[in-house]
Amino acid sequence: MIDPFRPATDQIRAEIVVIGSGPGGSTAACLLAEAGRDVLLLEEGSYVPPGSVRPFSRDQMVRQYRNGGLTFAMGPIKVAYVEGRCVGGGSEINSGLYHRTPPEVLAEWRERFRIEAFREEDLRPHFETNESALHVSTMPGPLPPASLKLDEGATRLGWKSLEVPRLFAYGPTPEEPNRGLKQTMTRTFLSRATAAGARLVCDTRVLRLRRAGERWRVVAEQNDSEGRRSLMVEASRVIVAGGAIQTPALLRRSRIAPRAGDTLHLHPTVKLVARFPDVVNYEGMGVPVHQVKEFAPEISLGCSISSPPYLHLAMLDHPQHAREVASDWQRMAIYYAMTRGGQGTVRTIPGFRDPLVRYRLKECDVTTLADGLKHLGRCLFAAGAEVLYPNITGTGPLTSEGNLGRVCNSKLLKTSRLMTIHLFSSCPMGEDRRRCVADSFGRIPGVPGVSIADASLLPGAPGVNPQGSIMAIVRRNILETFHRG
Amino acid sequence: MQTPRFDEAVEAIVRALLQEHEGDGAGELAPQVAEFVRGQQTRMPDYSRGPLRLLTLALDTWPLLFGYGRPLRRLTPEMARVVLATWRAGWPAARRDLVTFYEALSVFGLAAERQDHGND
Repeated sequence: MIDPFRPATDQIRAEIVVIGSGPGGSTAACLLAEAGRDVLLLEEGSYVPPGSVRPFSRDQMVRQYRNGGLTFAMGPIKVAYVEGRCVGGGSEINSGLYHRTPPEVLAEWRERFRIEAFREEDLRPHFETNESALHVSTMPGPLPPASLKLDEGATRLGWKSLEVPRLFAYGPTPEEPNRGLKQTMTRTFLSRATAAGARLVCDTRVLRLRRAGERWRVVAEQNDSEGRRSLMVEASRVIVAGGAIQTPALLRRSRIAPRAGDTLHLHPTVKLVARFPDVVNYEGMGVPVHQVKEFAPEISLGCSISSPPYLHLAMLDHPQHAREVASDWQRMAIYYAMTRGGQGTVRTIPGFRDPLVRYRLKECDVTTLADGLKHLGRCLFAAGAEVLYPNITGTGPLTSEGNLGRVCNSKLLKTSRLMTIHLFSSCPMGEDRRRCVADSFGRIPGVPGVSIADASLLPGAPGVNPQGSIMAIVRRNILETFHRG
Repeated sequence: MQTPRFDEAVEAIVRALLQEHEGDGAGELAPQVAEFVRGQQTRMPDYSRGPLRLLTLALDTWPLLFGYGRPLRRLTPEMARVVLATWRAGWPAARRDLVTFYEALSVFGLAAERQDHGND
């Protein structure tokens, strides 16, 4: 249970301010509050009580997504992305699928960015502690049929496929074998943080940070049901955890870390709708849990939320067949090919509050996307799909593996609808001062008392759902910075 | 800032797109879907709201200047669909993107409206 704090005055003091209550901010706030520190957590979004919004619904889009979910990275190929803007951040709106950082990705980051104490064995205790606290587990009951189709196709092709665990506390009953609660930050670390004395102030956007002698002034604006007012928070330490877009935007507005936002990465993802002869989808099917890792870490194949509204949206490129959704949606599901390529920037625009995000994919990145879509098509045909409808403008439906080459090529991929829900790397960590904004433990060199604790620290795209990586790295960093220094 | 002209234009666009996708049966939900679409417009990144508004008003004005003698918000859904089809196929890309934007929100909004009210 969380009880947001509304300051009685507009001038507040705290030892530590945490900006943002997503997985990184919540991990930091919980650790520090439970260690007896005075923590004030500022969250731009509102508190939406757990269970009061249906997951992946229009209501959730309006109440818990930044900009109603209408955010795009601009570029020759636009990439639609999604950010959480609510207490709990991205953890409230994502699928809750959990991975540790692949060892080869850890090694790549450690070597390229010169990150200290960043071997698999250094991070293992942090992964394990978080996994235990957040009940990372696989589904006890029957798996979603749409998800099983992906596994079936992969198995027939001899490809590596796995059931991905989720941050989910299952309490099955005979009637509901997969009954349980997603372990969002509001249900877990934020509840613990506030129970340990952390103060959570919602509906409060941080405008900038200002140095005041040995302390920091956090200039903010609160806009809630009681009105709009300015807030000034004075603190010894500031932990910035607004996510890969908002963190660099804040640092740039504050004229801290001028290279923040220079190196955004994301997981460019292309989707298609598959129709099967049998039923694969039903009301409340929930999150599909299989991913094909045969081509990892560069390409990962998976299944998306496939409720009728999302199916209607996914069929926009096939208007002649769009009406099939109404009659056939239970035989249809949305699948994706997720890649790691491209690079972008985050910039602030004078006079506007929302940052401008740009992203560019190189030819080789588009080729990888095309390859991913082709592998996905092969997998689904192997599983018995009758027809595939790729999210590519101007193509028709595909009815056999032989059609895949016609559509899954770089030229057509440039007209596809790309999206992502994973953004990172805008403030990479490490000791290479040419590449990194933060040091090996998230501290900003030359800016005493300010740390970063979110996905912007990840030096590159991990190729897997990133929440596990973010939380383990933040735990490691906070323990190093605050409990030892 | 929304104005009656803008609001009517959005509803006319939504109504035409819903008819195209779902036939006449979707018309009764057009006001609710249009309300969702207008709400989403107020939530968009702030730097994009002005250009979207201008482009929407340009779309509304286009048939008045080019062959129909009336703005889009005064056309029948069938005639509005023809105008939208012209913009969807046209140049520059901003025209296509605008129609795609409204189409995506309208289609999603209708399906969500039906799901929320048990009308799937």
